[in-house]
Amino acid sequence: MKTGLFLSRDDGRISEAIDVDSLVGHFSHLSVAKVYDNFFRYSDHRDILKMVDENGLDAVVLAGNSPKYFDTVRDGRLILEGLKSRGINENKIAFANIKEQGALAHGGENGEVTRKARLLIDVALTKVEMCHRVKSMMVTPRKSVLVIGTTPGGIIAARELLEKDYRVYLVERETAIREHAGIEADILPGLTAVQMSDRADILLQTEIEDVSGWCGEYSVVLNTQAGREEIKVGGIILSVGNDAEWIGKLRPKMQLDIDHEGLLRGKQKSNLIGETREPGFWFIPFRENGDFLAAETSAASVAVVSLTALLDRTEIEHSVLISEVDEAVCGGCGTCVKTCAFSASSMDLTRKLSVIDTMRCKGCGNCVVACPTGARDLVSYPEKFILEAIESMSQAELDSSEPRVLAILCNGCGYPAADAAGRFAIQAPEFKYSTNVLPIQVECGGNIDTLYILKAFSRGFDGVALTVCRDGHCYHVVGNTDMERRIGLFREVLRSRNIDAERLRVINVSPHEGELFSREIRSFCDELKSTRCEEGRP
Amino acid sequence: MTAKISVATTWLQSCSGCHVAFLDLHEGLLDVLESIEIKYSTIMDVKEVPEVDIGIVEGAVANEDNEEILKKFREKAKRIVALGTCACFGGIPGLRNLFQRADILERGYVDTESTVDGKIPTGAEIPALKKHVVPIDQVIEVDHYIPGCPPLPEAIADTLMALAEGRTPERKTRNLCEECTRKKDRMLVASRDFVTDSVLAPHELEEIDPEKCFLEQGVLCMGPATCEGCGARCMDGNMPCRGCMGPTPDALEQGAKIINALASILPAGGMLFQEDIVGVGYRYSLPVSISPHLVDRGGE
Repeated sequence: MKTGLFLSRDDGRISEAIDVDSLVGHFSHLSVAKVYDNFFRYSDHRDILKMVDENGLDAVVLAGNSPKYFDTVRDGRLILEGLKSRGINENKIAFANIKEQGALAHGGENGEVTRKARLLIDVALTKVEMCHRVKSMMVTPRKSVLVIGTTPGGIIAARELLEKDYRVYLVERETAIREHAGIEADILPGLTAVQMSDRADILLQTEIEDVSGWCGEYSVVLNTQAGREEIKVGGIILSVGNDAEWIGKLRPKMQLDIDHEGLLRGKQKSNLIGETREPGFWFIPFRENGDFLAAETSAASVAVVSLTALLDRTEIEHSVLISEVDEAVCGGCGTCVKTCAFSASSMDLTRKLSVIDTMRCKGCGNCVVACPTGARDLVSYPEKFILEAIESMSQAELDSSEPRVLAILCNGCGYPAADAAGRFAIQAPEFKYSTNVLPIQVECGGNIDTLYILKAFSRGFDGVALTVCRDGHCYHVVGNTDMERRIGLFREVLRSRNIDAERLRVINVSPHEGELFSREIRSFCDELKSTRCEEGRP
Repeated sequence: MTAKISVATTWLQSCSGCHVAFLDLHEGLLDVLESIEIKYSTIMDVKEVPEVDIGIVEGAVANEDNEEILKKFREKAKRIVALGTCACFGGIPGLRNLFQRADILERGYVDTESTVDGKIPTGAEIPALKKHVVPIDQVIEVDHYIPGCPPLPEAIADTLMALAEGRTPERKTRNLCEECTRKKDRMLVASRDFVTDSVLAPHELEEIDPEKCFLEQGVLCMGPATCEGCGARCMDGNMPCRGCMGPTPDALEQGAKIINALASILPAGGMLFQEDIVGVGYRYSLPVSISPHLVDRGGE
């Protein structure tokens, strides 16, 4: 495999703390190792793609910004699309987050931060080496959209979709269209247009029973007054206002991120309003203050324009990021069937094998952890890779005066919270934390195998921090519940090995709570350090 | 008829039950002896280990004597077969890895209730205890494995016959549910409800349903985290699996895995109702766990 390493100075923000040029020397055995000022600037962007072409690379490690930046900042993914268009598989692109979880988080201590950066790059190189290629498929998007909720924004969205020649299903669980005092007159003509259209169905007293599939091709089961009905749509717009109860019911079926009030939360603040993590789902955020009608109208337009921009394509590429079954290892115990919150696992009784429904699997990794024979694995976070990463992080030379901590970060909340901590730390030094806190990203709390924890302690880590979503906020609905259940039992196993269960810490955070992450991780390190002193170790 | 293959057998830290299992072939043993010739065994009066085709080793490595014999076997035998759970995974003797060696010696030679003025032997009269118990493949290279506590007599015969005929013995890769014939019902329903409301020991059930999955009866069964190959004998005898066949080759270990698995099957993971969470998961395979002994933080 020909691997290229591209490092970013991030216009000085990284190179201030990390000697990126020395890292190039360290990794000079790779096909390419090169430093750029900023990946996202035209000249650098173009040169990266040129390097890929000239050297025939088939794997790339981007050492710089957080992977979240590429995903959640508008157009951050352009560079990834460029790499993919040159034939590099999604799983052969890995990130070493030397900015948010390196330079910004620690700063100052040049040698130490550089050493940590080198380690993060090593882990990323292991990842591209050990991850299998992810398969992708082309979906021909359906020109139909389900609008859930008849708040004004929903009606405006339905009307706009009809104008764009889309088929529309407008679903409401109440007995009548939701009214909003003061703007009935503004909404009425649009509502009439929807009611008049033979391309729109308004379904009152209807609940969403089930949602499966992917952007461009969702299958939705509705429970209408007339009974159950299955519809196929290309995308879904949620306009449920502040109906937290309904959101609560929809969340397990659609994996929606919620805020502290239980209302829908967007992907990230820097993104378009109403964008969710599922590319085919958009929502109209609830706003109490300001010009209600203007806010609803613009949010509805953003949702319609963004969603139809996708669905108007002739084809959409869908990466099949699922949990796979090794048929030679599966004995048909049914554990995965019981564990999956999305009914994606079932048993083929004639072959006594677990089968996976790719339309339903969210790739959360809960079944991988649960599978007692090791027959399951996630395409993007193989168990063997994570164990190998823990191994290499345990071997790395670090500042021996500080405790060595493994921070297992869930993709949903833990990882972005750690990024946020870095952004806080660069402004206020009291949020800096030790370079001996070594991060490893997993898909979900449910994807945290107790084996990882056991591995870390047996290889000499002083502490393990599991940084996951707050209770009830797990994107995969049950991930942190299952993790808590497992950890509850597992502490006994730690004690049996002479490992103080206090060395395992669960930190619940929301994605933006960088301060909390930093505070928790710092106090954890302090506690570990004082335990060390009590034990009379240096 | 080709020439017989020569065999040597020994036991290290174990109960000799695997040798008994070999003898449990009864008249079947006569068929096996058509193809093999036992040249050396712990139960034969032969002093030196001769050069043989197959060395069969029962038991784990727990002291220096075990290690010496084992290395001698590797030297003399073309192929080594690990016989039984102790040889394959450390087995019951491996549970001592949860204690400090000094404490074990103290308990064994000094603190035992029947001992007066006991002292820990330090001379050459007794082989020194190793710090940790390990399976034999952590000391020498092993060619074939016959796990089980005790192993199935038929499995021993099958392995020997395969080797005599120049075939590679089959290694099992799936979990025990593959071989178990009990019916699963709620285990196969895609719902997040636990399969039972309560967790019970087998004797707490009014009647053990002989055809229903143990987990669905609220009884903790190690079958899901245990390798197939025993023919699910315990379940046929209406008792749940205790895990003696060890982990499947891909599972890395049993204890952590059964905890992970049970989280969404039985209330409170089922294991809280057992008095000994660690013993349930690691009874037979602690030395092959990812964390196979006490974690030392400086000092013993």
